[in-house]
Amino acid sequence: MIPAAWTELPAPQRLSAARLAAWQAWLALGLPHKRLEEWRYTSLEHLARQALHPAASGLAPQTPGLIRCLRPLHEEDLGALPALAPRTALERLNAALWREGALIELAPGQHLAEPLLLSFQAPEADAMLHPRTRVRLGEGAQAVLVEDYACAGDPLGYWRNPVTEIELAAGANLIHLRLTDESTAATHTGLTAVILAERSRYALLDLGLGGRVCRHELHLRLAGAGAIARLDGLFLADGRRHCDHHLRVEHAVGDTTSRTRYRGIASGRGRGVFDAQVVIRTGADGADARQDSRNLLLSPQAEIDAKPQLMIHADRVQASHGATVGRLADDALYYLRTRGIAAPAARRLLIDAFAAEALGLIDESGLQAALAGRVQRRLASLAEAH
Amino acid sequence: MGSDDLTLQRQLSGEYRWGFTTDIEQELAPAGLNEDVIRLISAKKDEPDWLLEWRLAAYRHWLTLSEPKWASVHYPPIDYQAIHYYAAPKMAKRPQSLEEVDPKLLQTYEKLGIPLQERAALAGVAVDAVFDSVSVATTFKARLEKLGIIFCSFSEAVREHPELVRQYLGSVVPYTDNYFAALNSAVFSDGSFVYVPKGVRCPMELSTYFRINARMTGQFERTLIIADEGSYVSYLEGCTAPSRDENQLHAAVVELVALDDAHIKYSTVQNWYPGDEEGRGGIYNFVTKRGECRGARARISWTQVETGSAITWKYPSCILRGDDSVGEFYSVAVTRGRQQADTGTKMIHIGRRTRSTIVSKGISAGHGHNAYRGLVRILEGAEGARNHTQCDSLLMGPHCAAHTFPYIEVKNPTAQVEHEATTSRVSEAQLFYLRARGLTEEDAVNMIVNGFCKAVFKELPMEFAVEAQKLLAVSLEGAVG
Repeated sequence: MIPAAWTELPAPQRLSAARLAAWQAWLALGLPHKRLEEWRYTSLEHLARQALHPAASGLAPQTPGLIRCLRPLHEEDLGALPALAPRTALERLNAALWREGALIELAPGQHLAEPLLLSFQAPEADAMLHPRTRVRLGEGAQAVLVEDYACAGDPLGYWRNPVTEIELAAGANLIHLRLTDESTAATHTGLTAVILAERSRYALLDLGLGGRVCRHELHLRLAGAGAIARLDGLFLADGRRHCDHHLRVEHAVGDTTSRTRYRGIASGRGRGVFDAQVVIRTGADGADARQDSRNLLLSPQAEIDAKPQLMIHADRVQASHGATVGRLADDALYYLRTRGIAAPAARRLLIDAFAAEALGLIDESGLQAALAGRVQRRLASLAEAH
Repeated sequence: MGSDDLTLQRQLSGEYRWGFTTDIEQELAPAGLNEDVIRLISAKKDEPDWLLEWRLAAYRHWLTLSEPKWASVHYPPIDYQAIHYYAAPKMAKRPQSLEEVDPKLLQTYEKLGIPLQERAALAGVAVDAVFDSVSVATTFKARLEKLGIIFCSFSEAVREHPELVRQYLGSVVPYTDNYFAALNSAVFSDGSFVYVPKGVRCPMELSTYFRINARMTGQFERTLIIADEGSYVSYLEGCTAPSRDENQLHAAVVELVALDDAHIKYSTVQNWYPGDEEGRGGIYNFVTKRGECRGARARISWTQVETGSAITWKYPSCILRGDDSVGEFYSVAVTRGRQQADTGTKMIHIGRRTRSTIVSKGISAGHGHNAYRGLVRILEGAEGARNHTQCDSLLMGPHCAAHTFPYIEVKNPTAQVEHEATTSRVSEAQLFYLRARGLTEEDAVNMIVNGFCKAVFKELPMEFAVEAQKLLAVSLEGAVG
């Protein structure tokens, strides 16, 4: 189902062939709905009722001259590079309508001392924002990338649908911090696609801090022996927030490693979703996949849905997953109170400790100053509301 | 119950297997499904009007549904209009002697130690094995009747105890539940009915072996078990011996109702024909099994050992409505050759302090394809609910597959839910260790596999557990090496 108004959006004669094809694919696929297994827990129905209009992507301008490896993305760039993102309905919509984006290219062996910051703002209400980012790290290159989706002003009801494609050549190393910190009325449906060549390393911190309905879909493919992916995540679903983390990790070849560690906290009327799938392909002997999802429910109206899946097609592999849902441990609270710590402070301590298990990358990337405070403020407001 | 008794019971079932075919054969309904066929089925069974109405309502609902495609299994489309919904197995199609039976099947019987005459019956050979042991069945029946336990075929229950059937039929699995449940509700052939009165502990394991005509229930079996307050019953379904069947599609429905303090234990060993090495001709087993703990402190345990069928699609579930009720699911599913299994459970926690345990062991060998699919749902009111799920896969060989699809939905903060899953293989180190201790490779594999499945086997009634172990050994012969 696609709202009639949307089908009128772009003037076809002004679209390139690639965009037109993407647009037609989008029209054929339509807006995802809850009857689709992939969208079982997240509804986008409200978007169909919103009078949305396409707008510039809200990418904040970079300080000129500081970072040479980053420049605006052009349509020709996408045509020249291999497509990495799966062609989902929303990816096709982005491919048809994206207006602004960034291209990050690191030469082989290039090490960036400073983190790259892609800061996205939201300019207006009812805007439809489709930013597109393309990242390529050459052989042995190293970088830290921060993708920050935020809204500084009033709570605007926009929809952001970003697509980020990341390609790591042999031995490359990327630390990727991704913040979904949208306004309390906004919808966010992000897609990140990553492909790892041999011996490359990818570490992600997936932070779900704000927004009304948020979903981040990660498709990661370990395509070369020795590739290692570390996926950490934390989502805070308080108030009426809906926060969906959707992970697809594919071990295409053997001797690849993935470590997934997500923490989720739901309070108020919030709802958190963790839907992760690890696929180990035929012949990928020596693949090693571990997945760990722990979730905290802090209020009677909150909800957590977890769906940790394994699909194994080889026998010389190691794969495991664990998922838990529960509340703060009564005996831990009791212990802290016997030490003279008041109940609210004790709760705060336990919530912080729980969240900290997933936040190691903030320190490791040297971004404490920029990020730690922001996360702490959100945790504090969540603990207080509770 | 000794193994001699078991043999006897199998012979019993053998006797009655083809016992009443004569008049049915004359009245084979035309292939296809329409309201007239349903009216015919109902009329043949001399059913009351309300049951016919129920069947028709189910049929009309079925027409509005489309076949589910979400399971992780693949099969060619089923032509529902090509099936005879009221028909006896055709004698002419069956092998006329043991010589015509697939020798592989016979070898398996040999290994399981099944008596010669019985082998023929199981393989579907058109010989009427006659054993004179009706008296045993009647003795059992008399003993049960004395305690007020009703154990009979579904058709008999409709005739003799219509009020019970009407009260409980479809109350756990309504015909609107799913595609195959709707189909079953419209055309179900026969099945078992059990009612255990208040406070009665059923003194023996109830098994279809005891029930006359049990093996003629056809492809759309319907089972209804009701345990009244404070009662206990253990029900065994199936047989370790591989049985052949003319019907490729099996869509059974099993409903369990446990009232206050009642306990139902339902054990299944399923070893239907899995098809030849390419998976042709095997049984499709699309079953809906569900129990409801309707009363406080009620308890329902499902234990299953699934080794047969080309495709298994079943999720024995528990609705934990009563406060403090308990649901359990223990499963071993083996797939080898081209077998596919998509199986698991659902635990729906509604009542306070409800508890559930899920232990699932999947074994894949050859080109086998094994999927665990489970749902644990904690509703708002399920204060203090608890679930633990352990879900392990054992892989043998580079071409098999093991999938895990757990769904965890928690709406109450006082609940505690844990899920863990591992995937492993029979490692060379383990094999080497056992072989160094003088075990043959086959025995070593058996020992490792039995250890892997132990948590489930210990839930099976004794005789069944012994047979299940043997069955597993036979099923996995040559899988490692």
